[in-house]
Amino acid sequence: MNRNSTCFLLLVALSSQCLIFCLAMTVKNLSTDQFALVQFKDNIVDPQNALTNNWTSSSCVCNWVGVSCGVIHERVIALNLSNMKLTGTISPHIGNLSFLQSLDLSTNNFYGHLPKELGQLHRLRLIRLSFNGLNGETPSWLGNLHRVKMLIMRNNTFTGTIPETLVNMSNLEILDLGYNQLFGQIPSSIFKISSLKEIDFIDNSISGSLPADLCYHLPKLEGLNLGSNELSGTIPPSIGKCTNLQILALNANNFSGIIPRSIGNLTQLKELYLWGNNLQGGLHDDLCHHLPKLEVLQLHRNELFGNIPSSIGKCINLQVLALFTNKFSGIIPTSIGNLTRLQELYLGANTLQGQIPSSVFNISSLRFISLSNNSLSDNLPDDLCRHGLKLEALYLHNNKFYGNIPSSIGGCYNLQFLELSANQFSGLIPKGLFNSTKLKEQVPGKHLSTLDRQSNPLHFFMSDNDLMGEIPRTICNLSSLALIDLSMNKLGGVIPSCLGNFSYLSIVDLRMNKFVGKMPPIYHEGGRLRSLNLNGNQLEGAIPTSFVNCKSLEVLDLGNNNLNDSFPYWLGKLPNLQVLVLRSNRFHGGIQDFNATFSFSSLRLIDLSRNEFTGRIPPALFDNLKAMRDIQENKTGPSYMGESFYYRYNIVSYYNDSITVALKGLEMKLKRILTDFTIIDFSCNHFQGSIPEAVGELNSLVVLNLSHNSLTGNIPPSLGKLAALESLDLSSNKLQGRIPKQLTELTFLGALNLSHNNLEGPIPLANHLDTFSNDSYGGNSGLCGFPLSKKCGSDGGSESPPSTVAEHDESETALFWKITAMGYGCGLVFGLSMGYIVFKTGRPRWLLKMIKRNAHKRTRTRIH
Amino acid sequence: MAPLSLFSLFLCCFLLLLSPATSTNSEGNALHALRRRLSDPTNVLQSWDPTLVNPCTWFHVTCDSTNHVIRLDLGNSNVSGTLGPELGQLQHLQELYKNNIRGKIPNELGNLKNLVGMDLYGNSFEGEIPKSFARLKSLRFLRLNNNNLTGSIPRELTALSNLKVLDVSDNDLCGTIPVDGPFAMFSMPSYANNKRLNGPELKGLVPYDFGC
Repeated sequence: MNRNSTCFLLLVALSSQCLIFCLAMTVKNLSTDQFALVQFKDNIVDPQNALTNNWTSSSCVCNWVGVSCGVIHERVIALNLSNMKLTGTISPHIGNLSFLQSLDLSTNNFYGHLPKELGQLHRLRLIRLSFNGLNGETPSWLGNLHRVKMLIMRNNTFTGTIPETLVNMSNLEILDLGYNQLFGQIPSSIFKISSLKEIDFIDNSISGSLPADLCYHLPKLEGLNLGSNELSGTIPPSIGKCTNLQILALNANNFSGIIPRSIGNLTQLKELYLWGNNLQGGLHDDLCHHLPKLEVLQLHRNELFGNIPSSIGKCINLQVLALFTNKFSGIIPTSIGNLTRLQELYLGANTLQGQIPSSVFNISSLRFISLSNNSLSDNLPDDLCRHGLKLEALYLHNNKFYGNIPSSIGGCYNLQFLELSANQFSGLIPKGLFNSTKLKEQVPGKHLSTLDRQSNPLHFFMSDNDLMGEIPRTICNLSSLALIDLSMNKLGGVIPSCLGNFSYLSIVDLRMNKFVGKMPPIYHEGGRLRSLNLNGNQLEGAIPTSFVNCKSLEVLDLGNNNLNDSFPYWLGKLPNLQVLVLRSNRFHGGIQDFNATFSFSSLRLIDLSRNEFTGRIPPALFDNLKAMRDIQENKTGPSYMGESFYYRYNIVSYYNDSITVALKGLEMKLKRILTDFTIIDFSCNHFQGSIPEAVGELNSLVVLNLSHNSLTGNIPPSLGKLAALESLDLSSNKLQGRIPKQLTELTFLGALNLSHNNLEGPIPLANHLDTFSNDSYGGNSGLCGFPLSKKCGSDGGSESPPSTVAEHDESETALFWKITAMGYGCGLVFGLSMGYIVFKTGRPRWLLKMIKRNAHKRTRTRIH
Repeated sequence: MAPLSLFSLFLCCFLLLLSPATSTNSEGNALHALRRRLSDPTNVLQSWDPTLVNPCTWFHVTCDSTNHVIRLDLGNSNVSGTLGPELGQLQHLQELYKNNIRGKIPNELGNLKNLVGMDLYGNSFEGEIPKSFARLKSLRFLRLNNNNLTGSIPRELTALSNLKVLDVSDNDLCGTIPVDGPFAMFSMPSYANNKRLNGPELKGLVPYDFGC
C-alpha cells in the first residue's frame, strides 16, 4: 500500500500530464473497486465510525483503512476489517473486487448469506469470516476458489452439509468450519485434499462415520478437530498414517470400539482428546513408547477398562492426564511419578484399588489431583506435601482411605480445595491443615491478607469420616474460608466462634457431630453465609440474634439439638431464608407473635416438629409463605439447592444442601433438596385451636404434617386446593366433624393420615381416596364406611365400596343380577324367571336407571 | 367435571419377603424407564432424577420403610405414552394412578403380587385385558373403564377372590360376563357401554367368547 501511494504522490508531484495518465490508468480500475467498497460500506452499520470517517472520496482507496492494493495492477488485493464491530450483510458488490486475494471480515456482526458473487474472486487465498452471525448453507461455489489456502468460517450459524465441491480447493491448508450448525456426513473427498494441515469442524451436528482411508492422503495434517459432533463408528486405524498430527480431537461424539494402537505411531502428537465417547477396551502397553511430545491426554468419560499401563510414565511431557469416569481397575502405577511435568491428574470414578503411590506426591508441578470415587485405600503417605507445594486441589472423596490425615498436609499451602469426604479417616484434624508454612515464614508486620493462601477462597470437604477431637483453633487464621463441611464425624467441643467473623464463608456444615455449647454468633454483617447446618449436635441456649445479619442465609438447620428458645420470628426478616429446621429441640411458647412485616417470604421448608410450641397457628403465617405458592416447574430438569465452587474455568466442586424430614410417614433424608420441594411440619407440639383456612392457599405445598398436637375444629375444606400435596398427616389431634369431600381432589396424595381424631360420618370415596387403608382413618370412633369395617347408617353413605363412576345407589340392580346369577346355577328358565319376578314385583326402576346412567356416561365420554 | 384419572394399583399386604431380590435401585431404574416412555407436558416427572440413590424422594412416588416403591400417584397429570414391562419390576407397588396412556396394558403388570388396586380408567388403553391379572391375588379394585379395550373378560379373573370393585364400562369388550367368584356380586353398571358384551354367561350353553 505504501509503495502504491508513494507512486501516486510522485505522479502528482512530477507532472500533470503524467498525473492525468496515471489517473486515467488507475482510476478506471480502482474506481470499480472504490464503487464496490462504497456499496459494501453502505450495507453496514459502523458504530465506531472506523470506515465512515476514513472511506471518503478525499483519499485514495488504497489508503482506506483495511484496504491494501497490489503493486502491479494497482487494484485492491486485501480487505482486512476484522474486529471493527461492523454490522450488516456482505454486499454482492464485493464480487467486483476482482483482484482480491485476502478477505478478512472476522469478529464483526455480519449476518445473512454469503453473496454468490464472492465465488468470482478466483484470486482469493485467504477467507476469514469467523466470529460473525453469517448463516445459510455453506456455499458450494467455494469449490471454485482453487487458490484458497485458508478458509476460516468458525463461529457463525452456517447450516446444511459440508459441500462436496470443497475437494476442488486443491491448495487448501486450513479448513475451519467449527462452531456452526452443519449436519450430515463429512464428504470423504475432503480427506483427499492432500495440502490440508488443519481440519476443524468442532461443535456442529455432523454425523456418520470416518472413512477407513482417513489418513491415506493427508500427509501434512497437523490438526484434526472433530470434537462435539455426532460422529459414530470406530476410529479408523489409518489415523496412524497422519504422521504429522499434533492435535487430534474426536471428543464428545459417539465413537465406539477401541482406541487404535496406531495412535501410538503419531510421534508428533501433543494433544489427544478422545473423551466423551463410547470407547471400550484397554490402553495398549506401548501407547506412550513413541509419544514423547504428548502434553495432554484426555480419555475420560468412556468405557475403557483394564489396568492403567505402567508405561504411561514414558509420556514424559504429559501435563494433563484425564482418565476419569471409565472402568479402569487395578492400581495406580508408580511410574506416574516419572511424569515430572504433570500438572493435572484426573483418575476419579474408576474402580482403582490399592494405595496412592507416594511417587505421585513427588511431582512438584502437580496442581490438581482427583482420585475421587474409586476404591483406593490405605493411609495417605506421610510426606504428602513435602514436594507438592504447588498442589491447589486434592480430591479423594468416596474411597476407602483410613488412618490419620497426615500432618504434612499443612505443607500444601496453596491448597484451595480439599475433598476427603466419605472415607474412613480417623484421629484428629491436623492443626497444620489450617495453617500454612508461608504463615510461619511471614515477616512480622506483614499483613495477613497479602499471603497466597489468604487471597484464595478455601474449601474443606471432610464429611462422613471418623474424625474426632475439636476443630483446631488454627482455623481462625483462614479468613478466606469459603466452605467447611465436617458433617458426620465424631467431632466435639465448642464451635470456634471465629467462624462468625469470616466474610467469605458461605457454607458451614457441622451436622451429626458432638458439638456442645452455644451456637457461634455472627459478627459479620453482610456476610455470605448461605447455609448453616448444625443438626444433630448437643448445642444449647438460644439462637444468637446476630443471625439477623445473615442476609444471604438460605438454609438454617438447627434440628436435633438442645436449643432452648422462643420462636425466632425475627428470622422472617431474612429475605432469602428457604429452609428452617428447628426440629427436636426445646423451642417453646407461641408462634402467634408472628408479625406480618417479618414475612418469611422465601421459606419453602419449615420444620418445627418435636418442640414445645403452644398456642394457635396464626393464619398470617400461611398468608406470608409466598414461596409455597405458584411454583413453576423447572423445565430444564430438576434443580437442587446448593452451591458450585469453581476451581479454574471448568472444574467444579458441588455442595448440595441436605436435610432429613418426615415424608409420607417416614423419616427421609433429602440428599439433595429440590428447589420446588415444600414442607410444613409442625407435628409433635402443643398447638391448639383450629387449622387456619389460609393453609389452602399454599397450592405448591407438598407435605403438610400437623399431627400430634391438640388442634380442634373441622378439617378445613380449603385443603382440597393444595393441588401439589403428596403427604397429609393430621393424625392424633382433636379434629372433629366430617372429612371434607374436597380432599378427594388431591390426586397426587400418596400418604394420608387422619387417624386418632374425633372425626365422624362417612369417608368420602372418590378418585383414589379409597386406595388408602384402615390406618389412614382408624381411631376415629365416628367414622364409617370403606375401608373401615364399620358400616355407615342408612343416611350415612354407601355400604359397599362404590364404583368410581356410578355414584348412585346401585343396590337394586346388584340385587337383580345377584338373583339372576343365582338362577343360572339352576338353569336358564329358573334364572330368568327369578329375574322376571323381581322385575315384575316392585323393582322395575333399575332398567330406567341403568338406561339413564348409560346416557349420562356416554356424554361424559365424549367430553373426554 | 371429575378428573379423568386413571390408573391406580395398590395392594395391601407388605409381604416384603416376596421379592428379596428387588433392590430399590432397580425400582428407580424401572420408573426411569417408564418416564422415558411417557410424554410429560407439564413436567410432573421432572423430579425423577436417576442419580439419586433411590426414587423415594421423587415426586409422586411413595415408598415403604424399606425404601421399596409402593405407590405411584400420577392421576390427572396429563402424562401420555405407553406403559412398558418395567412396571412389572415394582414388586412392592401398591398404588398407581395416571391418565392419557395409550397402547396395551403390559402383561407384566400381572407380576405385581401385592397390588391392591389397579386403576387404569380414563386412559386410551387398547388391546385385551391381560389374563395375567389373574395372578394379582391381593387385588381389590380393578377399574379399567373408559378405555378402548377389546376382547372378552378373561375367565381367569374369576379367581380373584379379594376383588371388591370392578369397572370395565365404556370399552369395546365382547363375549359374555363371567358369573363365578367375585363376579357374582358386580352389577350392570360395571359393564355398561360395551356394545358387543352380552349378558351373564349361561354355563354350558353359550361359549364365553360368543360374539367376539
